[in-house]
Amino acid sequence: MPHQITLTIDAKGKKCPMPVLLTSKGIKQIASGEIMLVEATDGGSRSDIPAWARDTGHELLETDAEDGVYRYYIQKA
Amino acid sequence: MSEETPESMTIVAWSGDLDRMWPTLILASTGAAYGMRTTIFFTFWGLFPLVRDDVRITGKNAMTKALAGMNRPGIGHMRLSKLQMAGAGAWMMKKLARDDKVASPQELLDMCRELDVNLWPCEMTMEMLGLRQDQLVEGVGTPVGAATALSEMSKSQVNLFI
Repeated sequence: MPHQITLTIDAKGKKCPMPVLLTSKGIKQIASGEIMLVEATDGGSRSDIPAWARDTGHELLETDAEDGVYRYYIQKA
Repeated sequence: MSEETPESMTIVAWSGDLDRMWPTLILASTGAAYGMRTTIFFTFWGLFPLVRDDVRITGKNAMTKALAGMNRPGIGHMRLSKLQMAGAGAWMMKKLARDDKVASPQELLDMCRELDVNLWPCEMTMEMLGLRQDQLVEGVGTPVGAATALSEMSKSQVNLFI
């Protein structure tokens, strides 16, 4: 599904808690309604990013995984 | 923000040991990333990692200087509480973390500052150890007392003593 990406966060190779920290920093740089793509390789991100999105009110539109890279499409609330 | 999300977290960091300060910095930066008001109250030995790495000796007299000499300040000089093995233990932990791409205490402290974690040094300890604000890293708040820390804790849903 194509998304209009405003910002891409590269958290590949980084371990917990860096993917969530970089995601949080990234969301401050985009406007409400805009979409951010977070790429991570840390397995912990599979639980952390959805939990973060749920608890902070931003919408996790889509998740996919390819070649060990998890991609999270997050729309800012 | 959903209703069950805690709004505030306070961590009392009373130890300067690597094995305590590391998880403290992980939890604090993550709390801030969660949008929580997050505060770390650094007290007693917990203050030493806030001293700039280039400051070798702190203290106001022979005793406090000797203490700083025995317990080298700075976030790059933290030791393990167990199996320090004259530095080999801490070195091995840091190497493992680096190889595994786990963020270092320094990186996490930088993140805490970027994410606006309140870093509150304990005023009483600073005076007792003869630590000056200009010897601490940038971004550290004004020294506060135990009552200020407790007041913050009374408003926090998550309080940790690490």
